[in-house]
Formats: sequence, C-alpha cells, structure tokens
Amino acid sequence: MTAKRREPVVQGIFSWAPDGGVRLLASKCDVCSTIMFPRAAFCSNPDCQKRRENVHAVELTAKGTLWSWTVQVYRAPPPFLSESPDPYVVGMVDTEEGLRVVGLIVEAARPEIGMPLELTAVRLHEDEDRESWTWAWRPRRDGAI
Amino acid sequence: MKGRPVAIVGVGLHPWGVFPDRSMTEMAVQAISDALEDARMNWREVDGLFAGSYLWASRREGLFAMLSGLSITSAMGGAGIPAVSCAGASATGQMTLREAYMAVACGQHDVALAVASDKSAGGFFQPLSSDAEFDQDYMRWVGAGATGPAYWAMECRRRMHELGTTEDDLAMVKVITSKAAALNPSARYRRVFTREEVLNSPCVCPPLRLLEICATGDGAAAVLLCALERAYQYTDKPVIVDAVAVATPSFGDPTLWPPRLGVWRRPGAPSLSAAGNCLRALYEASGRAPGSVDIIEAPDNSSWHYLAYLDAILCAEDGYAEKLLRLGALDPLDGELPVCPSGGIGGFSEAVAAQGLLQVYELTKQLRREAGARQVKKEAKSALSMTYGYAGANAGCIVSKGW
Repeated sequence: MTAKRREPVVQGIFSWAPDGGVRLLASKCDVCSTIMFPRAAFCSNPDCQKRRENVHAVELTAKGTLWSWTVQVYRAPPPFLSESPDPYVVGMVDTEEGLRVVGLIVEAARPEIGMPLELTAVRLHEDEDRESWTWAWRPRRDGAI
Repeated sequence: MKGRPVAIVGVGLHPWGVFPDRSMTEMAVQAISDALEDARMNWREVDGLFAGSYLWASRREGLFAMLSGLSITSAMGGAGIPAVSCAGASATGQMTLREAYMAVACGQHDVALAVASDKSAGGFFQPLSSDAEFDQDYMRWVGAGATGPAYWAMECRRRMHELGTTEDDLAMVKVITSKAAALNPSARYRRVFTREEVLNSPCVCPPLRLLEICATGDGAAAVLLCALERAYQYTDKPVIVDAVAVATPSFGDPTLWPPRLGVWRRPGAPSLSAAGNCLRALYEASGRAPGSVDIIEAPDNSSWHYLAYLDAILCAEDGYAEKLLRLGALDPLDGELPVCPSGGIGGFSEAVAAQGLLQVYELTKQLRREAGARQVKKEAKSALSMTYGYAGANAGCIVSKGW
C-alpha cells in the first residue's frame, strides 16, 4: 500500500523543508526588508516602491513566541475540516522575523503568553488518495527560552 | 468640518432581531419611512441615497443585496435620484453617513439619506469564497479554524495579561449595557443580565463567554441629513454632524484585524491604529478636545472591544476604561459618562452594515431627549459613536445639539 499524498491545506502557504521541518512561505522586499505573509506581489510599506521585481519568496525560520491564545470551544463550521471533534487551541504568534501570524497551537497542555514555539504540521483530514495538512505551532523542543 | 453645516433632521429604525420572512430591502423601506415621518418629509424631497451593501450576498438576496441602493430606491418608488452602495463591513453605516454628509456639505444635495439594512443572523461569519489562491479570509478559516470571536478572545487575553483586566470587568460590561437594552423596545435582547448569569454562560473562546460576545442578527436604520440652513423646515431639534470619519489601519500596526492571517510589526507602530486614525480625524474635524463628549455609543462587539475602544475614544492610558467601569461611571443611564445607552451591539446583535446607523439613531434620540425609558440622566450636548469591523474597517462620528 502506497502512502497517501500529503498536501498543504492551502497551496503555497507552507512547505516541508528537506530536514523534515515545516516553513511558512512569505514574501520579502529587497529594498526595505518588509516581510508579507501570506505571500504578496508588492511591498506593503506605503513609502516603498510598488515593483514586482523588488519582492521575492522567502521561507520563515519556523520559530516564534506566543503573543496570545484562545480555545475554539465550538468548532468552526466548514470549510474548516478537521477529523477531531474536540475543541482546539488557536494562537497569535510573533515570529523571529517580525510578523504576527494566526495558527493552530498543538501539543501544549498549558499554553502561556510568551511561550517559545516552533512550527510543525498537523493532519486535518484525508480522502481516498491524499491527506490535507495545515501549519501549527508547538512548544519549542530545543530547550530555548 | 469644511463645507456648509449639515444636520440630522430625521432618523428611523427597523427593530433588531431575526426576520427570515422579510427582505433587507423591505426592512430598509420601513426604516426610511420611519425617518421620513420623523422629519415630516416626503420621499420626493430626498436628493440622493447612500446605502450599505450586504457582505454575505451569495447566501442571501444575491446581487441586489450588494446593489442595495438600486433595490431600495426601486422599492421606495423610482425617483431617478443617485443611489450609491457602500461596502465597509461594520464600518458601513457610518460610511454611508459620511458619503451623505459630504454630498450635502459640498452643496451637491440639500437632503441626503443614509440607510443600511442587514440580515447577518446565523452564527459565526464564514468566508465568502473557496479561493485558496487569493482569499485570505478562506485561508485563515481552513488553515487555522479561527472564528471572529477567537481573534477578539486573543486580544482580550492579552489585555488581561498586560493590564490586569478581570473576568468580573468583562462580565460587568454586559451587566450594565443590558440595563439599557432592557428598556429599548427596538433591542433584540430586552432583559437585564446579572453578573452571575454572565459568568455562568458558556465560554465560546476563553476568556470570552457567550454573554460577553454579541450575537449576529438582522436590522435596519436610516438617517436623513439636510443643510443646516434648511433644517428647521423639518425639525425643531437639528442634530449637527460635527465630524464623520472612516479610517483604515496604518502600516506596521501589529494588530491582527480579523480575518487577516499575518501582519508585519514595525517597531514603535501603534496597535489598533484604525481606531486611532478614525478618532484623530473626528477630534480634529470637530475641533473638540480628545474625549470631550457627553455620551458614547462604543463598539461592544465583545467586552474586550468595549474596554479597548473606550481607552481609544477617551485618548486615555490603557486600562482607564476598567477604572471608570469599576467606579460605575459608565452606566448607560445614570453614569457620568453614559456608554451604549441603546443597549449596545450586545443588546441589539450585530447586523453588520446597519449597526453604525443604529448608533447614530440612538445618539440623535438621546440628544433630543426622546429616548423614553432609556433616556440618559445627564444633560448631554454632544455625543460620539464608533464601530469596529473586518480587516480594520473603523468609522465614527461626533454629533451635537444644534438648538
């Protein structure tokens, strides 16, 4: 039996790195260093030029700290599709690059503001030949504070 | 503000609730008829109409929910007047007011009508498309399962962490605003909630509980504007529009305005910048010192909104709203600074496009002292309203007694 194809729930929003880790895919302006997530065609800095050639795709470092969190006690209805019927944790995470991003928080028994996190991916659902995965944050395992 | 002075000469409302058997257009017509009667005016005297557009048009009423201005003028009876439809999420109501205001202030119209009708009842707001390439609203939904209240709850937890806001504070917001809602015949939830009831209501997104978050609902409101020089034709009590503003967030603001998935944080950039931008515009245009208004209709979409927006409206240090709340100063009926005498969005429920005009309706009634059982005790000469919306859509106005 062959393994099912793993696919990001939204194409181009994250990727699996060669080392097995997960990276969010963003855009960076070469001129002013502003980073945009999700990816954007133009720099969002009002004082920067709107030139496609200034902006290129970057992978984020996959490290962040928890700015705040909540529990979605009542599951979001479709199009959110998740196999688990349980409540889940959602967080706002400040990444090392200077972004604040929304995402699921997993493997955290007691989420705490300021907690160091790293990016991972979790399976949301599957059909006959593929699995749908989303990005998620979990407590950092490298012991960093 | 620049241009000739503009006054509110009539206001009308369709009650808030859930109305599956009525179209948004017919609810708008009811609100307009109410406003025309209030101003002793005929429909033929209206020179231009500015209507709020409904966001979930693919689910209800389709094309004409977006082209609301055309639909409403047709239902009122085609008068050949210009009809402009405005989409601005929760800022839509005051966006229509601003367009109507400018049309009168610049002299293009003598009488302009702002109207918005909305049927948002039905639980969490969901994305409008399944466009995984470009719809960020869809992406946050499928990727993070994050509802609107989840965003608010995360802001709320952070506020509690930084400022020491308590669960009691969050509950008391609902307790005091519900006192006014109970006395408002147009409100959807006409009852007083006790502290215990609020604290025992189920958590939707902790720390926010069911009774600390507004429901989604249906409603419509209309406001008639007229050049002040002609206002006494229609009313003895013209309410002057001192300022009306619509604002957007500034670059670098770290606030994740729902349904955004990510934002770039520029060091030093203020959070909730759309609110600050809107309020700066309002105070500058009105010439008022920041915070110097007598009554406030604040966006109480959740208890967090109420507190965070009051700090912004009063241009006070963070956490000032909690201090006023604990002192009892914010009681909507007899407080030193009455907030949400209508009963607020918590008491009415969120009819997205229409809620801004509901606030203007309320402030007009309060300044005229026609608010019946919920009339504020304080002698009020000026009032401010403000709404919070998707993607940072913020809008507000300052109005004052013109007699």
